[in-house]
Amino acid sequence: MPETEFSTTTRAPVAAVWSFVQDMDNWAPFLTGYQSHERRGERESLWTIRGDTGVLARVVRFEVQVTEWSELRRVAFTLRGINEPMQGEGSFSLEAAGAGGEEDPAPAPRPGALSRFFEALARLALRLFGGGTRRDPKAAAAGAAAGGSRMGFRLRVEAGGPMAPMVNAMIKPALGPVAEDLASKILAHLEGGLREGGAGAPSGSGAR
Amino acid sequence: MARKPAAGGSFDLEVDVVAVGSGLGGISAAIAARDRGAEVAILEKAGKLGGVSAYGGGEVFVPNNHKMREAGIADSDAAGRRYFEFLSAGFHSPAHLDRLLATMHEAVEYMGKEAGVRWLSVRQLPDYYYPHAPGSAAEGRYLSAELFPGAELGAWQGKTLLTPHVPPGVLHEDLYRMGGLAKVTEWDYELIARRIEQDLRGFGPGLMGWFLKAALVDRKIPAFAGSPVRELLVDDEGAVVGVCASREGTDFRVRARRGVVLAVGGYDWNPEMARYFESVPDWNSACPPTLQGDAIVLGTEVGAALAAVPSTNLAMFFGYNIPGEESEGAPLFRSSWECGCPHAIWVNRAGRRFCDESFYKDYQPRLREWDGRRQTRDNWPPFLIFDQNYRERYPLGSFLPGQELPPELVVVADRPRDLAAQLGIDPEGLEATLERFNQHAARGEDPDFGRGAYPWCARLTGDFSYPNPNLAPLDKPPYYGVRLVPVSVGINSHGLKTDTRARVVHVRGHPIRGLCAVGNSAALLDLGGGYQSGTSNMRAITWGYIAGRHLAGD
Repeated sequence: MPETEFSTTTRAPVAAVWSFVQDMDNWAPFLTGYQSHERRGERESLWTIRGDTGVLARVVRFEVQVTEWSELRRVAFTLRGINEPMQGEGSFSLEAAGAGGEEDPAPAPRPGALSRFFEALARLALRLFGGGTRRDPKAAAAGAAAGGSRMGFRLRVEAGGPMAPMVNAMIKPALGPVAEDLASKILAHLEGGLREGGAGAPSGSGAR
Repeated sequence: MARKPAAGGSFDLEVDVVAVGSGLGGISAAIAARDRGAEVAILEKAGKLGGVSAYGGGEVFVPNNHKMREAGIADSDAAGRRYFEFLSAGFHSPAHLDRLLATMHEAVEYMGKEAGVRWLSVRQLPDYYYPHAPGSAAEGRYLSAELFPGAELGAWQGKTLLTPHVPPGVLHEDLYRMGGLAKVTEWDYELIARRIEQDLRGFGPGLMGWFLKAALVDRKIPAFAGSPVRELLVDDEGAVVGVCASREGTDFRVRARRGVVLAVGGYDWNPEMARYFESVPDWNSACPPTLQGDAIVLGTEVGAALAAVPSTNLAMFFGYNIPGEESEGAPLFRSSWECGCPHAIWVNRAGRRFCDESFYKDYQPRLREWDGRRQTRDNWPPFLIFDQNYRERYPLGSFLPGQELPPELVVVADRPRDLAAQLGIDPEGLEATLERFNQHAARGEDPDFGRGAYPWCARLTGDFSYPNPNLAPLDKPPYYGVRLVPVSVGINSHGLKTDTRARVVHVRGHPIRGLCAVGNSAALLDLGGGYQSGTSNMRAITWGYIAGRHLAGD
């Protein structure tokens, strides 16, 4: 079953990370292949992205349901393909990581000619934890840790239908390289903000 | 007077031979030249290597080939020649065909023995026109390659083209064992999954894998992807002495002490060339978007002559673009194989059938038919019509039975006349057509167009659970319709004029020193007015071999 997990650290405090990612409108336009998204209530949203496997690109529509929303800590979700036989689930977790952040080993380069679609999918999933209720940033900041943050991410995607073994085989090696790309883009945004505020350079990122 | 790009100045790289293009033509030339002692470099416009050759079915059509002999399949050179002469319909150059036939076995066997290409003879796949054409054969003339382990490409593994047009990790024998293109719901996806995990490549990517490994890994020929050649460099006497390419945003000048081989395919993605040379009102391509007529631009800029064969019956399929589907950054056009499956037909705007839909060699010229009194093409565009029987059994592109079909592409209605109205087809015409077609199709017969008469069509798209694998009635609502568009596979009617040593010929009639053209960059003077799967790959290998040896001093 295709699945990926990674974690990374940032000097950005938990409150800052949470403040940014809790609102999908903040980051939706950054999504590779992003075409549109639509809120369907407190926990449900519909997303349209252009997914690219490297061989073939296709417009894919997903329904995303947030199943757990723990303020400043964890979001879990499910996803279901509307025009593709695909389903999955994932989670995002956040915790304080100390003032300097922790260094994770650098991710090993992996082949991934078919990976772009799943990169986009995983990016989408990562950002879906913003599908819940909007919160007051000041309230969130009040409970934040003073140091950096560790972000953890897990995504499982499973194709359905007769072609499932083939599609899953394409997904499996493609999910790994997602981590580095995800981490770098999120950190670039968060730590860019820190630099603007004079908080220092990025602490590094990693995937496992 | 032709402009002469300056050959003076410094060079970033100096070699004996530059192969422009990394499909079969360019790579075969590179291998042949290298093996004769030449220093070689390969320049490729795309970011990945492999060209159109990696995008296709990977068939290499060689009558009386060595693998047939090993398998005990009877054939002869004389029969092969008769078949090629049938294909050409009198439009070939005898000298070019002679050279092709005299060299193809040597070239293909050389690539097996010296370059490590592991050839297979494809069984159960007849010539297009078998058994109706002189010299045609029931099987064995198509060569393909064994599954190629992608890891053997080393650093190039992720920089070679794969294809969206054929299933990954599959050979012809696997496909036929699984039931063929029509039986996509019954394929062994566990087997395919295992091969994907091992990066075992079949069809075009597999064939190109063996050639690329021979050139890049075994011979260590330097290759530069993402390096489009912008101009040929000529000396004061008009000889081509190098190229100027673009690489990483700057000029990349490569001196070619002995010459340049243009092997960049045709002009599928050059709308102006396609319009003027192919003479059809619309043009789309299943090929990578780098096929932009570069050979014609580069060649004519140094005085090359063009040559042409009739476009009437080369390799123009019809198909569609599923909205939003792209490949290599361009809309992905799929050839419509649906028309060869049971429970599907084509009609024109009058609602009438006009061809054997299962055989593109029949439908292609009929689509071009011109009513000179009304100045119209009455069969253009064709409409694919199928019923619920079809939907329950066969795919539409990558959409399997049960999957939602995109409404932007597919029209649905409970009655044929309502479907016709939505598509802009004459309702009475479509109803009458279905009534007659169904009456005969129920018996596996098509007295109007003889659908099912060519075994190649049955092998390609047929369902062998039917008495006539290409034919069955459309009698279960709802009905579905798709307006189709032309989809070329890169076999164009115009190209650079070459001589029998693959040298490009100047408009004044003499060969241009230091310039060869092969594959689909060269006009189809050897094949004339016909085409058959695998001939394009065969002539790319053969003429590439000829050009490489010639430039290396043969």
